[in-house]
Amino acid sequence: MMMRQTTGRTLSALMMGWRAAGNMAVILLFGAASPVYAHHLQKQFDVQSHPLITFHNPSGKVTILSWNKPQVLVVADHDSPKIEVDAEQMGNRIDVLTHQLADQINPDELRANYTITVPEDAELQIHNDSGEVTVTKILGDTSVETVAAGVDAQDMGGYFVVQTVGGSFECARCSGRIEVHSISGNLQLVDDHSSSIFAQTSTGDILLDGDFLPNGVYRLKNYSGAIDVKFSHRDSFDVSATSLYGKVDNQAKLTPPSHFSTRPPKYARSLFGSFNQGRAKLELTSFNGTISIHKRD
Amino acid sequence: MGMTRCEEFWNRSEAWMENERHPEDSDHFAACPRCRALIADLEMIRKAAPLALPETEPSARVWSSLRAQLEKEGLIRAQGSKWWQNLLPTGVFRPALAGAYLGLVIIASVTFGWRNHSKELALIHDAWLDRAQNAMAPLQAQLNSAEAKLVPAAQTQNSDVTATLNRNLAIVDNMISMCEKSVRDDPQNEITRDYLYTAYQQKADLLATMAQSGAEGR
Repeated sequence: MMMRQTTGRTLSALMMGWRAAGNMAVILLFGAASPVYAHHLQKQFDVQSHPLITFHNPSGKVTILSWNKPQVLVVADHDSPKIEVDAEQMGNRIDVLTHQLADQINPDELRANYTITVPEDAELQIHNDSGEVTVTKILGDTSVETVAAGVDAQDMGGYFVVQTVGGSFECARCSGRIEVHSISGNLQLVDDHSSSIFAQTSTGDILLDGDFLPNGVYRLKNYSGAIDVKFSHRDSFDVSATSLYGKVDNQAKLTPPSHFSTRPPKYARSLFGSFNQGRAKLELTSFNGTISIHKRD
Repeated sequence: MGMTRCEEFWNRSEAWMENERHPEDSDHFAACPRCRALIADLEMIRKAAPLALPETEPSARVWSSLRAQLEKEGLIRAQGSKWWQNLLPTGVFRPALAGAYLGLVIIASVTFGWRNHSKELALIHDAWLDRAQNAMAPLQAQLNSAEAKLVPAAQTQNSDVTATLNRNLAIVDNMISMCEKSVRDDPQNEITRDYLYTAYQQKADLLATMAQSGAEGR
């Protein structure tokens, strides 16, 4: 009896445990793991090679991924009835757009989140004012414009142009030509294998920690932030670094140049020279920020 | 009597120093130790000169007065294709003499040219400043006019976007003000001018974004 009672309690406890675990699983699967939105859109389009995808969204999180299928899949979610998400095909172009349906709308009601999966060779034109933009493994040309949204890119292969006002930018393992402009965003270029990088921000910091390819050109320019360049002993580059009213801190043992292309003013801090054979070209300019050229740890 | 190969080479040595090299001169240069010594001395002077002379190129007037003074004092002859060639008693520059010639050039340039030079620097500064201000003024006017129209409209929107735009407009305005000061102080400096024009461009882009944001009601 005791045993049965104990067993009954144990069974009851076990059953309650399983029920609780089941409830938790349901919550995790349908609740916490993927928030339920009032409005959902899912559309798939067949496309040919090098499709163009244009995207315009005022606010939200947009994730763009690639796959090997000749198809574009658009999944969008939002809460507010005051906006509408839409995706349309015009030939080999897909236009994805968030419409505002009401005149009076607060910033939270503008928010729509997207996940768009495209062929690797797709070309993208993305405009997302605030929120986040994540782009992964796109080999076609890509342009991203944001105001406050940060841009996080990985494994990009084409010509990649990014313009933000205050959003940060990070590009990891990118191999195509990169051009990024910002006013106050921080810019990070890490593990890239690109032959052409131009990065400009006014008050943001810039980090370049990637490969210097032979004949590669790397131009970093800011106004008052820090410019930090990492190099290894195997790298080979010509460097010109000028900070008009700031500092230049260099750990590379440089050979002086035979010619000066631009003579900086006398009051500027600057250095010029070649590291190893000087195969890549590195131009660093700051108005009153600090430029650091440091050995990679 | 025709010119010797060395004389022909000296006459074209200025072009040689600018890497405009006649094929015959290359052959002669390879064969003639005197001409190689001459070019070596000129290279040495050219390398040393930027360290000693003021950064601004002395004007033609400074060089003319230097030359006239050297001629007057009998240090060089009046005629001849290149005045420094006449400094050569035997047609050969020795490296040891190069320093002495360089010193002479510097002393003479400072003595005869400095007074004119400082006036010329002021004139050059003013000319650059005029030019920079002529370029800046219309841009400033257009940007200020656009700002006066667009910013109040954008202020009515209450969003992250508007806050970011306003904050960055203040950053760019501050940058413009600092760069304008730098350009006024040193109008010849290409880097500060470039920073100023970049700041104007950023402001124009920012105002365009504000206009678009306002139009779309964000």
